[in-house]
Order: sequence, then structure tokens, then C-alpha cells
Amino acid sequence: MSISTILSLNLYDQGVDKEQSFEKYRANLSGTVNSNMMVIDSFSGSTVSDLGIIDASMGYYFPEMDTLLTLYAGQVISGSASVVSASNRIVKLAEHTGSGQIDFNGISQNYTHLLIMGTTAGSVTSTSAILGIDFNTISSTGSYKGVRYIQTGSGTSTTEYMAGEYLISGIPIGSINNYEAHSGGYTSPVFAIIPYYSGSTGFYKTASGFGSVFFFLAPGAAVSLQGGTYLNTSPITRIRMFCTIGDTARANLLENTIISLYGVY
Amino acid sequence: MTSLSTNLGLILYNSTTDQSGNFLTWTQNMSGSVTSNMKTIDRWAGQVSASLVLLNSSVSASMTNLNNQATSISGSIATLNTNITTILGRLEKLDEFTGAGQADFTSIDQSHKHLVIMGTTCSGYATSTGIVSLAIDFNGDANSADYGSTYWYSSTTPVEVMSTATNIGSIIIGQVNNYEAGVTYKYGTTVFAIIPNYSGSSIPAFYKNAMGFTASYLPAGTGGGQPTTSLQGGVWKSRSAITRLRIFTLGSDSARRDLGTGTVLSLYGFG
Repeated sequence: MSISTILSLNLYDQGVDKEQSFEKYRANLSGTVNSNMMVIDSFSGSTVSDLGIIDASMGYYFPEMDTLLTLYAGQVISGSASVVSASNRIVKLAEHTGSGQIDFNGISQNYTHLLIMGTTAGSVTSTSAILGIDFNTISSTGSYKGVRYIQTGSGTSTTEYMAGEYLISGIPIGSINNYEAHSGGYTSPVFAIIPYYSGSTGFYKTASGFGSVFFFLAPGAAVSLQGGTYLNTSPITRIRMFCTIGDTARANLLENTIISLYGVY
Repeated sequence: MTSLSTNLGLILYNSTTDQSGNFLTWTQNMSGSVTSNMKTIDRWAGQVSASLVLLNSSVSASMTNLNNQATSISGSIATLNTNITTILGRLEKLDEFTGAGQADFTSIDQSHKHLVIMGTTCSGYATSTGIVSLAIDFNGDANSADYGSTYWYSSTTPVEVMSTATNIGSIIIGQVNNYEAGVTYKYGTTVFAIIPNYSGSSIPAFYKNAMGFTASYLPAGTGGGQPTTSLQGGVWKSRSAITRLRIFTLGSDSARRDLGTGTVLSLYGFG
């Protein structure tokens, strides 16, 4: 008699084991605690037990993993919302580069204030070049009240100029270099604010900015403060920018102009 | 005639149809040959054990892999959140005042470097006239000796004023329209001001300071179409971190007056 490889089941060889009694054969097959049937049964039990252990392990681990993944998913969603929040705190809504007149259309209404930053020069020959803006394509002078202070010159020979109801069919937000200065490589910085642009209540819409201009020709230098009021409480959805010399004519801004429009939440 | 079981192909005997089978053949089929039932069961047991080992190994490896991935994801999320927090801190609207009254921004977050005030306002004091000073104080300190302010404005009448104010208990940051111009005629004034290094308190840091600029137009009837542009600022003679900021207008008697209806003033933290 021999035994099998894996379970050590009792095996009979017809040639050598034919003299074994039926009783002995039956006992080995199913009649003792070590009989084949008991061994098979034991193996069956251990198999079920092993599967149960694996199942229990997976049953514990997978819910744990599910909990973790749910937690992570929540954190990712929360993080994603924070990213959206962060990315919306200050957004470049539009940017103009190059020559011409600026037209920022379809301005998002999702922000509280607007900022304008950049550098530019005007195509006029006058040294009194002004950067002007209008809102929502309204270009009638009666719709705006402008304010402008500028001091020009150098040393003690400076000249001050102060004016209200500035008739440029828009609002002055900066003093800028002219065509000749631009040809010499000079442009002017621009910084302006348009507060509460998207609301439709409260005050008329306003804007203001400050500027400093270095001329390489007379009058040499200028500093300015300016701003004004658009006699309307409607949300601002469109902004145009142009060069003016203080009248209603609009001239182009010159090449290399970069003017960015930002929304601040 | 014997038959075979469905899964393992065990040799089966039918007590009715297989009565003629002899005992020797039966023992052979049960456990006496390589194709006997016992040998078949033994081979199956070997395959089951091998499969269980493989399954256990695979599950264990998968769990380890998932755990490593989860740990990695957790770390990435933590890093991401830290980066997001950093980005959020670069510009944060700390507070906003809307309507009428005096703005009082308290418990100002100290995690930023500079403060910026943007908005639009006017005087809320019904009997105010001409152009009105917009002022701020810090940490609830209204002691006049604690502040020094300087201001310049240009108008048509007078053309230009340059002066200081040391008895107002605050810093002037703008010249805004009066009540009638703002509340009645809707001519508000744009406000832009900065308070640098507000959160630092180390010595020898400078006293805290602030400055701002405005450009206002007073409509006819409230100032005769008078324009005003202004630059102003000042110092608070303290190095304490600024945790509270009040914004108001000043009457001609330096008394604190309200901001007018329609005011929107946003306080931002930078950096």
C-alpha cells in the first residue's frame, strides 16, 4: 500500500495489495480517523477555512480602503474647490498687446473690483497725452465727469493743471507718453482701479489711476492723478481704452502696448 | 457501466446498472490506478492548495499595493492642500464692509504681509460739505497723540493744499465726496490704500503706516462741479501688529462720521 503525494491518501496497488482484506480496505477508505474520506473531509474543512480567512481579510480590508478612498475623494473635492477659489481670487480677464484701441468685451461679472495694469504710449504728438476709458460703449461726453491733476516740468519750473468735467467722452486714468517719446523707446506705466464694477446698486461707477511720465524731450517729466464718474449704476461689461489729448477725438495706442485687466474677488 | 462526476471526473458506480462490476475493478477505480478517484482527488487537492496559495499571495500583494498607493495619495493630498493654502494666502479678502456706518474690521488675520483697501464710498454725515477726509485707525486706538498724518490735495478752489494733521487720532487715506454728492447724487469716490507690513511687530521695525490716493468729482449743487485729487498717508506711532482696523470719515471738527449708503470697502491680505 502506498500514499498519495498531496493528501497522503491510502492507495492500493492491484499487483501488490490484492491480498488485503475487504475489511482493511474499507477501513482505509472510510472506516478510521485517518481514512481517505476523513482526510478529504479534513482538507475540505481547511480549504473552507483558508477561503474564510482570505474572505475575512478582504472583508476587513476593502471597507477600510473604501473608507480611506471616500475620505480622499472628499479631500480631493474640497481641495479642488479651494483651487477654484484660489484661481478666482485674482484673474486676468483680458489683455491687450500691440497698437490700436482696446476693447475688452464680455467682462466677467464674478468679481468685486477691476484693476488695470500695464504700459503704453499714444499716437498723438501732443505732450498732454491721456489714457482714457469708457464703459459699455457709452461715448457721449454728458455721461462722464472726469477729474485730472497733472504737474509737468522739472526743477522749480513746474506747471500744475487741475480740471473737472473733463470732456473726453470717458474717464482719464493716466498720463502717457506721446508718439515722439515712443519713437525714442519711452512708454508709461498704467495703474487704475474700477471699484464695485459688477454691482448695480449704490453709487455711479467710478475709476481712478495715477501715472508718472518721463519725457526725454521737454517738458521732461509729469506726474498725474486722475479719475472720474460714469453717470450710470449699470454693471460694467465692456471697457474701451484709447489715447486722447483732452477732447472727444480718440487716437490709437502704439505698438508694444501691454494692458492687462484683472478681476479681484 | 460506470459514469463520471461532473467536476472532477470521479468514477461513479450505479448500484443498479453496475452490479456486474467486480470488486477488484472497483478497488482499482477507487484507489488503485493513476486515474482512480483517490489519485484524482489528490491531484485536485494539490491544485486547490496551489490556487489558495496563489490567491492569498495575490490578495496580500494587492493589499500591500493598495496600501502603498493610499499612503502615497494621502501624502500627495497633504502636499496639495499645503500648496493650496499657500496660494490662498497670497491674496485673501479678509473682510468687506457694505452699506452705511463705520467699518470695523476686527480679528484681522495675521498670516499676510500687507493689507490693501479697495472700494468706493462717500460721507454718511448728512450735513457734510465739500470734500471729506476718509481716515482709518488701528487696534481701536483713537488717541490723537498716537498718529501723524500728511495730506495733499488739489482742487479748483483752493488749487492745492499740502499739510499735516496730528490731532485727529487717525490716518487720512483719501478725500471723498460729501453726503449729498454721494448719497443723493450717487457720486461715490474710488478708494485705494495700502497698509504695509501690518502683521509684523518686531523691533526695530518701523511704526505702522498707511497711504492712499483718490480722485473725486463733486457735482453741481454739492460743490459746484469741483474736482479733487489727493495723495495722503500717515503713521501710527506703534509697532504692534494690526489686528483691528476702523474706517470712517472725519468731520470738520475731526469727529468721526459715518460712511454713506452705497459704500463697498474690501480689505485684502497680500502675501
